[in-house]
Order: sequence, then structure tokens, then C-alpha cells
Amino acid sequence: MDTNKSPKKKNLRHLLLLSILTAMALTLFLVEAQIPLPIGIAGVKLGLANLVTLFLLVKFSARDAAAVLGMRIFLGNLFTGQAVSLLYSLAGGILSLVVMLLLCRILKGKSIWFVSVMGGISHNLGQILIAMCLLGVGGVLYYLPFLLVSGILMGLLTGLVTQGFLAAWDRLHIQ
Amino acid sequence: MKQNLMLAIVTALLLLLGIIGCIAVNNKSGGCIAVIRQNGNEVQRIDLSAVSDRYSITLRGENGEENIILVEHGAISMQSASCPDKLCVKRGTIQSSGIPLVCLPNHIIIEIVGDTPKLDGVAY
Repeated sequence: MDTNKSPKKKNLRHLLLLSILTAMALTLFLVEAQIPLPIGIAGVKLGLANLVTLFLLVKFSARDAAAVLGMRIFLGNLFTGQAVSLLYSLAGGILSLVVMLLLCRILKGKSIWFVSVMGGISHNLGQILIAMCLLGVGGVLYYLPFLLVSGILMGLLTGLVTQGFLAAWDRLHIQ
Repeated sequence: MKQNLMLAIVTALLLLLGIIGCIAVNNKSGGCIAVIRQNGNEVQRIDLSAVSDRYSITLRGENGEENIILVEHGAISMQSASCPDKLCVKRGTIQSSGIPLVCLPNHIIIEIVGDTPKLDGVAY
């Protein structure tokens, strides 16, 4: 778009965009928490908010993605009122962010659906690891296959949605 | 496109591995000793085959958490929990080893262990 924007204005624009995306991620996170899934297994969820993280990773930077992810996790857990789940969210969030960042670099921003699948798997893996630490027992490992399957399926779903979102963003030529 | 195909194969293999794992865990049977752990420490060990009348156990945590566990003959379940998500209550009863009953917010895990299946009856 306009190339003669002052750096100050550009910074403000960027900050505004990150704020809107944080609000979006937070909304997805909170709405998703209201959807009851008929599986009594902790950790199985849609992970829609990952859409925003993935979008930022591809179109902007890892720093922006991490900032929005951190804000979303902090505020989301503040609103849902679960102090313990903050640890689970952080473990899953950080691990999946690192994995998705590396994959994005390796795949050069292509095959976003696969980046999302691996993000879903690593998110669930992070949660199992923290559960093992907190519960002090290896029994939670029995959840691994279930969370692997749900991570792949939900990751694929959000990955495909993200691809659609990225295509729409490119059509709109927003910067 | 070639890259997508390769990645699709990798995803499909992982999915297959996960599904096989799910089936394996689900079919894991046997065991009648329930082990209840809170914060990683074993709180109680119950032989479920020896339980005749159902009774409940109340577990209290340091921060006012409360979990009521229902013990029955051959089965164990979470009757109520002070956690917000109630996933452990929704799981229902567990009867055999396999996926343990977990209350993540209150750090409680109930596993069924021990391969000592009681015979229903023996015919000669």
C-alpha cells in the first residue's frame, strides 16, 4: 500500500493489527471453551486460536506471534479462571510455537496445513509432558495416542482454515 | 505439489500410528487394584474385586480442592470435583487398566493396575 508512511505511523498500524489479532485469538479461545466435546479426555480441543498464531508466523514474525500467543494465553486463562491450566497452556503453546516456527522456515512458508498438524501434535505433547511433571506419574502417557490423533485432525482443520485466511489476506493486499 | 504429497503420507502414517495406539490402549484389560495418587503421592490402593458395598472417598487439596471418588465392586469413578472443567466426572467409571482417570486441575490420577484377574467361575 502506501510507501510514504512515516515509521511512527507504521508502528502504530502494526500495534493496532496485533491488538486486533489478540482480540480475535482471545475470542476464538473463549468461544471454543464453551463448545462441549463428547470426549471426556483432557486436552482434546479444536485449537482454533492457533489460526492467529500461524497467520502471524507466516505473514509477520516469530516475535509478533509469540507476543500475541502470550497475551492470549494470559488473558484467556484470566477470563476462564483456571490458574493451573495456565501452565498447560504455556507448555503446549511454547512447544508448538517453536515447532511451527522451525517448520515454517524449513518449508519456506508452504504447506501450512502440515505446519499446523505438527503444531497440534506438539501442543498436545507439551501438555502431556507438563501433566507428567505435575502428577508425578507416567500413567498419563496412555493419553498419548488419543492426543496424537486429535492433534493431527484438529491441526489439519485449523491449518486448512489458515490457508484460506492467508489467501483471502493476499487478495485484499493488506499490509 | 510433490512436497504436499510427501507431507500427506507422513501425516497419514502418524495418524495410523495414533489410531493403532488408541486401539491398543483401549483393549488393554485386566487389573483390579485401583491406585489413587494426589500430587504424585500414592494416597490409597484399593482392591476393587474385594469391594462389596459402594462407598466414597473425599480427597482435599491444599487450596480447598475437593474430589469425591466413588468406589464400587470392580469399578471406580469420580463422583464430583471442584475443578472447573469436570472432565474427570464426565469420564464416568473405569473398570480396567487402560486410560487412567485424571483430574488435571486438582492433580489427581486414578490408575487400575495389577494383572490379577479374578475368575468368575471354573468348570471341570
